[in-house]
Amino acid sequence: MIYIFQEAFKGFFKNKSMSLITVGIVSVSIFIFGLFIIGTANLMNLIKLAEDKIEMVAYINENTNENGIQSVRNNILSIAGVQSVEYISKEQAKEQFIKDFKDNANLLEVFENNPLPASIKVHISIAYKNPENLKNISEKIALFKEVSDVDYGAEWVDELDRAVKFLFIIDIILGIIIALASVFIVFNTIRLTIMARKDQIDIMDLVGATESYIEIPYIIEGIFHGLLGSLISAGILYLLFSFLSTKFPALISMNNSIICILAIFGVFLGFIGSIMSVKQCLSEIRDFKSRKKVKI
Amino acid sequence: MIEFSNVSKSFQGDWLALKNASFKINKGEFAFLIGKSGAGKSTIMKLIYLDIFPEDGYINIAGYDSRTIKRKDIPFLRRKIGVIFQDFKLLPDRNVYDNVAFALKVTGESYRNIRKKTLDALASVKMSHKRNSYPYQLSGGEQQKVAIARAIVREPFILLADEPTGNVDPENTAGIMNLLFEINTLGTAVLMATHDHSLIKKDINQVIGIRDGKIVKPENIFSKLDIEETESAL
Ligand SMILES: Nc1ncnc2c1ncn2[C@@H]1O[C@H](COP(=O)(O)OP(=O)(O)O)[C@@H](O)[C@H]1O
Ligand SMILES: [Mg+2]
Repeated sequence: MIYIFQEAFKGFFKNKSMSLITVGIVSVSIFIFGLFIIGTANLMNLIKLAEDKIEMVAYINENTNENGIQSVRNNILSIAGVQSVEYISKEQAKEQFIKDFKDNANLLEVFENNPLPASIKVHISIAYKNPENLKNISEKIALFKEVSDVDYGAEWVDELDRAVKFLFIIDIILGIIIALASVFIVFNTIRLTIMARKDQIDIMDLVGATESYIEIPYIIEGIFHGLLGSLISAGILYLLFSFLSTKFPALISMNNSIICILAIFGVFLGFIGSIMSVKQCLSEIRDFKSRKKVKI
Repeated sequence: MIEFSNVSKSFQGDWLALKNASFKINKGEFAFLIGKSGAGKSTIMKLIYLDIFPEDGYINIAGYDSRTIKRKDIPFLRRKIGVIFQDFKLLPDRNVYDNVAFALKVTGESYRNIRKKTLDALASVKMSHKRNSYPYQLSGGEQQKVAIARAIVREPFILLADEPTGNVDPENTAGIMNLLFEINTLGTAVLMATHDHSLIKKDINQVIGIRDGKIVKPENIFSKLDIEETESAL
């Protein structure tokens, strides 16, 4: 058992250049993968911010009394997907208008009475913020006799929904391409470094090392390369994004869960890459001897 | 102890590298396997340590049967078989001591024993003084001695030597041969494959001839006269 770790460790230092190349290639692959993950996190965040802006307003008929308001509030609250409601009286609406349109506040002065209707702001839970559900809820609210009109920016919601779906597909395709490319590149690098030690594996097999004894040092080495590579790229990404977030404060930068994802991805690449390579190397050595035409 | 029973081996198609070979090697024996290049000597060696398997017939190696042995038992069989080659197969990135110790480390030998066994093996091939040298600093004869030390460090019951003097200059050939005889006197069987008649000594227990994959009398390894008789015997 001591041997196994010693050998894995020695392998790392003995083949310095090969180890550096492996770690370097893992770092670059994971760096690109990390950019993608952070990009995705920021994209999700933007979508969430946009969806937060979605709100529904139910305008109340002029002649609705206190009781009517109370009952329509409760009725709206009982609709599935409605999180909370907020009543805005005619006076509040006017104040808000004046606040919002400071320069043109006198627009209202042409009216004898306050023309702004009372309304109920309806907060929708995030899961219901899609075109179908919003439409459904708005139609239900419109049925109440106290409600004159419901508005939730249907066109904008539709557009946002289409954009989100499009970005999602692009993001997933990009993610698959990047992940596959990383797997391919890292696996091949590990394979080359292990194949370069074919002679060593051949001797182990000859003197009677069991398969696990042959494989485990290479696997530990692979895991170590993967972990080291991912931590290096995580470090670089961390620095890069701390710098960027001083310029763009809204940016989501590296956090622990992203570091974890990268480390797991790195270890995964190293582990699977080395286990597959060493098994392939071993079976190649054996096949070579029993089948292929070679000059002995 | 080692028994070949009607063993045939093909590498591709119908062509047989070994045809119906039968012979025995007894415990502690020194046996020669003699034949021209390409006759099938290395094939026999590889069959003994089950690097390759026969298509027909079977081999019994110290109780392990080639037909029934499990993949996971092969390493344990190999620990009891020492093998050396014409090209030594030393690892260039480690010194003499580590090359020999490697065979112990990768087979899970306890740390206490590795040092003692390695030094013992190096002493018995008279290479202790070069334990810190790297293979490239050694002559062919010296490299072969290190390879022998690695092969015997686990105290195998047989040492397979496949053209062990092929890359060793004439002065050192006798040294290697003497070493093999010495190892044999200590109780390890030796099977040595060679094409070189001059290496055969009087006190060898058995000489197995091989020609074109067939076991023949040693004096017939070059002749074509007995082809018909061997083939009718098949
Ligand atoms: N792995 C292999 N694939 C194909 N042919 C092989 C292989 N190993 C050996 N042979 C063939 O089998 C024959 C015997 O080879 P070998 O046992 O190496 O001969 P020797 O050791 O007596 O010189 C040769 O003709 C050789 O070309
Ligand atoms: Mg040969």
